[in-house]
Amino acid sequence: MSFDINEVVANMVDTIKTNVADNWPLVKETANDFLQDRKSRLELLASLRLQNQISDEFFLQRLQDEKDILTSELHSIAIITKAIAQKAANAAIDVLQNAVSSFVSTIKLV
Amino acid sequence: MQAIRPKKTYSRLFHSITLFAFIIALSGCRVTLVPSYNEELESQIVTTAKLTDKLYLSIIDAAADNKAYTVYADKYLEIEAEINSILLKNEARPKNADFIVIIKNLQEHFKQYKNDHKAKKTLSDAELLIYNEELKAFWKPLLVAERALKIAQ
Repeated sequence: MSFDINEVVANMVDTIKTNVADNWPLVKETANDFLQDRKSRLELLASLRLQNQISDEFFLQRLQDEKDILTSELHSIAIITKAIAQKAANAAIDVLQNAVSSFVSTIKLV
Repeated sequence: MQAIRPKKTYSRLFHSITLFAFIIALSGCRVTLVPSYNEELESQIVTTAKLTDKLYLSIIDAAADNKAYTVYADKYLEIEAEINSILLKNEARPKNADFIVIIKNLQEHFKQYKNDHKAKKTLSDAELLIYNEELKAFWKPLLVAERALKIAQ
């Protein structure tokens, strides 16, 4: 009986792919949600400026703030992707550990 | 042409995460890339974001002669203290770099908007509306990120 590392690695890759694919919609939905929110805020800002309800200075300052909001959103997406990568990597490590444990048990029985 | 760009970007990101996870998995030890999910922090974020929204809605709803900073100073300070508390709790967490950037952005802008109200004594409804919308936009990435930590558990 031999330890088939190719099969184990293939199983690890499958586990990672499944984990990433299962959680992938959250990344896309969050990015799209942030984009929609930005669109609404910019529409509101533009309409209030056009109605002269806010000054040009106030309007330009809020556009600067949008850069900081974008920074926060990108860090938020980074956290989501890292959480997905962590879960996938640990699931793959479990596959490797289980395969090794099973093989060691088989050897002991023999 | 522009319509397919996001798909390509998403696809690249998807493959990068898969490859990244595989390389880490090959190292054979447990991986920690993000802090552990904290239910208490999630609750504090939701509550303080709601307080922020309520503060700005209250000022907008108030009569023109009742929008002065002094009327709302205590509420501003209560929210500022909660944001400081959220920052402190996150500073004590491992793998906190992304969270710190998000919270410091929120803290800085909350103070900036508060100081603007303080300096001008009163703000117009349009300015208050914009400030409320911007602060919601600073809160949301923090809440989304905290909830995403459940994935890693």
